[in-house]
Amino acid sequence: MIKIDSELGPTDAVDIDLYFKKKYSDSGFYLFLSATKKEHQCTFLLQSSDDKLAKLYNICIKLHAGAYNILSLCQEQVRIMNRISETETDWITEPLWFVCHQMIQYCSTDTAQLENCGRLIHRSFNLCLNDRNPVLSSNRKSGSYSLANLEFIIYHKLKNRDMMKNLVKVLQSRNMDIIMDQPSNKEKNSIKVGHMVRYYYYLGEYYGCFESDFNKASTFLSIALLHCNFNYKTHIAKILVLLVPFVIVSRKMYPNEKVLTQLLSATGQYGEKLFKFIIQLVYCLKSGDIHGYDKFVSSNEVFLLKNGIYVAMCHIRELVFLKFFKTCTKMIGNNKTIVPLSSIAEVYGNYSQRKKKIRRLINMKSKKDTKIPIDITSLENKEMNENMDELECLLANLINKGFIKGYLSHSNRCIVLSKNDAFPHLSSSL
Amino acid sequence: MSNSYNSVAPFKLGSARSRKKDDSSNNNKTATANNLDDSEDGYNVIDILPLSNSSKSATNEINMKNKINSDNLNNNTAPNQNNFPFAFQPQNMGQVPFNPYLLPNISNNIPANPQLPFITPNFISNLVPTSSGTMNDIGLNQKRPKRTNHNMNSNIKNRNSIESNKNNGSSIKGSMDLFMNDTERRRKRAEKFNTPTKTVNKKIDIVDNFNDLNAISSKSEMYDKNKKIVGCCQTLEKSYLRLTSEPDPNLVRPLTILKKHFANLEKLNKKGTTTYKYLCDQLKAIRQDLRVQMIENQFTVKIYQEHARIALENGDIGEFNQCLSRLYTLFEKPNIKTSCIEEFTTYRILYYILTENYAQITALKLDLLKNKLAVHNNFVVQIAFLMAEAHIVNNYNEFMELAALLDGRAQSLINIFIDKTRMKALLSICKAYNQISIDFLIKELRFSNYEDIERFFTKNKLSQHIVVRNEGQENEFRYLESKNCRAYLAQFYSSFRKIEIKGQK
Repeated sequence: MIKIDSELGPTDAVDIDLYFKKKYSDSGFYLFLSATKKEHQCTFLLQSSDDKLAKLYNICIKLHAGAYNILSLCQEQVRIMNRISETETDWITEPLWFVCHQMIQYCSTDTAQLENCGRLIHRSFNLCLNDRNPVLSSNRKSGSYSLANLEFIIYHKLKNRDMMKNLVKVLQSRNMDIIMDQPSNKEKNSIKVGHMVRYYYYLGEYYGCFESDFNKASTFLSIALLHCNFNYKTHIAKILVLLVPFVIVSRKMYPNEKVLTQLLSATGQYGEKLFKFIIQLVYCLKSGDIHGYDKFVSSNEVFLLKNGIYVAMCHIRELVFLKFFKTCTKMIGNNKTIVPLSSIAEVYGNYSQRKKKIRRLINMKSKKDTKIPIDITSLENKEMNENMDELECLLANLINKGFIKGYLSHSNRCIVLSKNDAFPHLSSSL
Repeated sequence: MSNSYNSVAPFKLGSARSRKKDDSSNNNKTATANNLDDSEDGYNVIDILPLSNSSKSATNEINMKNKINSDNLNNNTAPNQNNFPFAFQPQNMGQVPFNPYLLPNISNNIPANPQLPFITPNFISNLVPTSSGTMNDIGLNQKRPKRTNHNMNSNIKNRNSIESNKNNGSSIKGSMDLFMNDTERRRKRAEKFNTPTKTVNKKIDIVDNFNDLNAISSKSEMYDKNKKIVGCCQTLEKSYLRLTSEPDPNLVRPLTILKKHFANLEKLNKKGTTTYKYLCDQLKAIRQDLRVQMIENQFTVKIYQEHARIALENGDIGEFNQCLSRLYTLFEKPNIKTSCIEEFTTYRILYYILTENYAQITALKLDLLKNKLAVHNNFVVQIAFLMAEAHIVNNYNEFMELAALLDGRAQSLINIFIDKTRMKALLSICKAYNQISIDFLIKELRFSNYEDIERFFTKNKLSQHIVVRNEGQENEFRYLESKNCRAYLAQFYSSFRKIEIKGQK
């Protein structure tokens, strides 16, 4: 966060031209640009005859005096800063970020206004990204990340997935990481770690929640977590909410309880809830409690939907079922290769809340069609067959993905497992 | 929806002068058509300084030059070197056929050789109006219906004056003026007559200005899409035509007429006598009329719903998606009663499954859970959500079981992507089983009978793997040799691309 020096009193004078001449910015400049109403303000001096600077000065003075149309003034401010930035080097990216950030803070939830702000910020972002200055240390590209973050904020508020898609495309195609690793930028990196963490978080969220590309999402989110300052617990919690499910699906890894307690300690209510959530998830995964898992998902439905991890949880269910089946075969099979499915199907089908729900729906429909079952035994057989069909379907998918080695036999209603390593270690299937 | 709605402005030739507006007519909202001449000064088309606009814009120059040529044409003077004040004559810069039959009231004065090619000496840029029509060249568009209600009053005078001037000495004057510089000419004229410089219609000017090729050059940007039109057309039927400019209230039907027409269409649809093409066309026209008049009430909802249903029955997914998206926005409006929202939410979810847009499904689910719990708990909506979950993990068993519970129209939507789901399922099945009986496949993948599945296999080149035992006998047993299929299916499935159907196919 950029610190605004409020120690400047009424007698101090801040020379604005100096910033532009010497090409640096400090707290005085941010004080000048800030939109909050101030009294006993220090005086700002501007001697340049440049009309852009004059306009900027006027707007800032208006903002300091307190105005009712703060948002439109902030937008004007951003516009003029954009124009000024065209000819400046990279020192202007931070003040530019500052005014854009300010504008977002004053923006209401009105779509038209948000879109307007979004357009302005996109312009700033383009200005930074398309800078062709050959001197890399003064190239404005280093500021692109921060502005991209602001754009992400706006698009999240607008819930506009297409704009996010465009932005991600641009970012990925420009491959700006190369710029970040330049030795001359290392210094700036240390200041902008916060921006970097946020950037990777947004990218990871986009890939995981919208594109269902869990591999990429895990990569980005792990980078974000690794660089995130240990003290920012809420940020860590936010990253973990997404990271844990995505990593389970793509890398088949689950978090260690000790590390988890360290990360989420002292985070308050949200962190505690998240901790319980992850612990429960990992427990279901380790024990193969498929019915417990279904209950868990249905009770946390809103939480999952809000955070965009519902799809990931559907994929995790497969892994939970795999564990379930593994334990069942161990109990029944006694390490035999041929495993009959009838008993497993019964356990799976008859105690599943989910299956009950579906059966209820089917019954509702058949009631509508006024179908009456002929006799109970045929109904039981029918259910038995249905259970086994569903079980076969799930097993077929697992075999297809390589989690089980073996083959199914429909006529004999059994699965023939491979002699060695029927359930290969999950990490080997990566 | 903004596009050529009117059929005005037959006179083109690149000139863009404001038509003299008839006060009584309702031409205020139509696209500013071009005036043949401003009759203020009693000057005819011949005269070289028609625009009387002192601004030295390029468009004016173009217009003038175009006008010069039109003058020449009308005068039956060949566009030879003498008439041009310029050193070179751009013979090969492209030619626009000048069709005098489309000019208002010009039929009396058709020049002797109407086929004379018309040369546009467009010096500003190399862009030349093509024969298919310039941005202004609406009149040359063959598809445009004939405009019957021009305001011709202002032109009659001029036309007659053209005729009178044909062999008149003023033509000589005109050609003499051609030798002078454009700006000088304008200046002279302005001086001479002290006429206020009549401003050319700026809107069309900007469009014609080829100096800045990066500028927005679409006419539809000029027109305020939020302006409401009140229609007054009384004809029931209307074919759909894409708008390229402001709509003409004379061609927009008011709500009562639309309701009558829709009732007729419903009757026709019930009888089954009309084609889908006709129905679609008429419904689109109704939708357009509703949109330009910004009518958003229950009737609008009904139209979109009916069109969506009819489109679905006839397999027109592009139109279906259009109607569906519009329905979402309509349902959000406070004054609209959400009728059949469950049905259309189901279609929406199924469409998202079709496009594999799972993020939208979760967003929709969250929205329903928060705001419309009744809709969420509805039978068909629940089924659709469960189908989505099954589809994510390729649980074909559950998917097919649930699909059987939905009724006719939803079935037709599912049928569009069911083959892809079947292939995906077949991939898993072939990987897991060594052989699998065809009967099981028929039941599991919801084929209606053996012929159906056979057709499916032949289409996907799998029929060679079907093995028949004891054919013709009682215990006939057909099965699929899945082992052999595996390689082929894996290859087949990896070549699948995500389908994206947005508006039109």
